[in-house]
Amino acid sequence: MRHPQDLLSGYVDGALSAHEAAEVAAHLAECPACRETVSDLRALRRLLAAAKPPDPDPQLLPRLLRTDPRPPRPLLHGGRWLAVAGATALLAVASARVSHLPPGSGGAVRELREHARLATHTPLRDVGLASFLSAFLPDPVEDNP
Amino acid sequence: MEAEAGSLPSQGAGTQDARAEFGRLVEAYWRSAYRFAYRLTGNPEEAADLVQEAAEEALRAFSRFRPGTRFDRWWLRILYNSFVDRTRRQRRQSHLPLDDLSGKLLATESWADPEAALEEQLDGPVQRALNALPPEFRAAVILVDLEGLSYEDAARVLRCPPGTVRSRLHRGRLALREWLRAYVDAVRRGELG
Repeated sequence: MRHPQDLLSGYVDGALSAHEAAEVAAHLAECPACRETVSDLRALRRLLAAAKPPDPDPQLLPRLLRTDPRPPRPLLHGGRWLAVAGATALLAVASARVSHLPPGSGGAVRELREHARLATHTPLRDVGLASFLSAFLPDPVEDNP
Repeated sequence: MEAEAGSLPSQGAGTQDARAEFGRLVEAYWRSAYRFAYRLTGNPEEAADLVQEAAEEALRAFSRFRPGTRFDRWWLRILYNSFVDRTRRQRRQSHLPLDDLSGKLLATESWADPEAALEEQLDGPVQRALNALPPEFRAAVILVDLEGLSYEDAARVLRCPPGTVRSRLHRGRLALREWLRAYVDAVRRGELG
C-alpha cells in the first residue's frame, strides 16, 4: 500500500470504515514515516484542543437578542446612474411579471406593487432597491442541511 | 449545550412566539457561534460583527428552519456563508501556501519557544497559525479539531462532501504540524497539552 495520505487523519479521528482502518493499521506496521505522522497528528489535536479562545464580549448576547431581521444585501455598488438604470429596468421586468401572473395572484401582485412603491420612493437607496429586488431574486440563505 | 432545538410554535401562533424561540436558541448557542467566528477571523471585534450578521440572516430565514434539526449547525452554516462572502469582498490573501512548511513567515521572537508555551498562552500561536491557513482549510480544522464536529456535520456546515472535509483537514493539519512544530514536539514529550 502506498502512503495513505488523508486516511491517516481519518484513522486518528476514528472516522474510517473497518476495512480502511485495517488497511491503514497494516501500513503503519511497516512504515515508520506514517507512524511518525500519526503521532504528530494526535499531538496536534491535543494542542489545538488545549488552546482556549478569549471569552466573547458580554454585551454581545444582549445585542444578539435585539437582532432585527437582516434586510436583503445591497446588490448594486455602482454610481447613481447605474442605480437609476437598474431600477428602471427592473420596474419594466416587474410590470411584465405582474401581467404574466396566473389569475388569483392578488396577494403576490399587491406585494410586488408594495415593493415597486418602495423602490420608486427611494430608488437610489439600497433599501429601496434591495426590498424591490427581494421579490424576484433567489434567497441566498438555503434551507436546513 | 447540545440539546435539540425545541418545537417551533404551530402555524398561526404568531411571529412573537417564533421570535421568542429564536431568542432562546440564540442564547443557547451564541458561544459556539462566537468561538467559530473568532477562530475564522482571528479578531474579537470582527468575530462579534460576524456573529451579529449571521444572527440577522438566521432570523430572516428562520421560517425555513426545520424544528427537530440542529439549530447550532444551521446557524454555523449561515455564519460560514457570511464569512466566505466577506473574505471574497475583502480579497484578503494573507494566508500562506500550504506547501510552505517552513513556518518562517510566522516566526516571531517568541514563536518557537516551547518554554513560553504555558497552556494559557497557547491561544496566540495557535490562532496565528490558523490565520495563516487558507480559509476553507482553516474552517475544516476549526470545526473538527476545535469544535469536535464529525466529518458529516462539518460537511453540512461547509457545504461540501465529507471526503473533502477529510482531505482539507489533513492538508491543514500537515501545515499546522510544521508551523507549530515546537509545540507539537512539546506535547509529544508530555510537557504540554
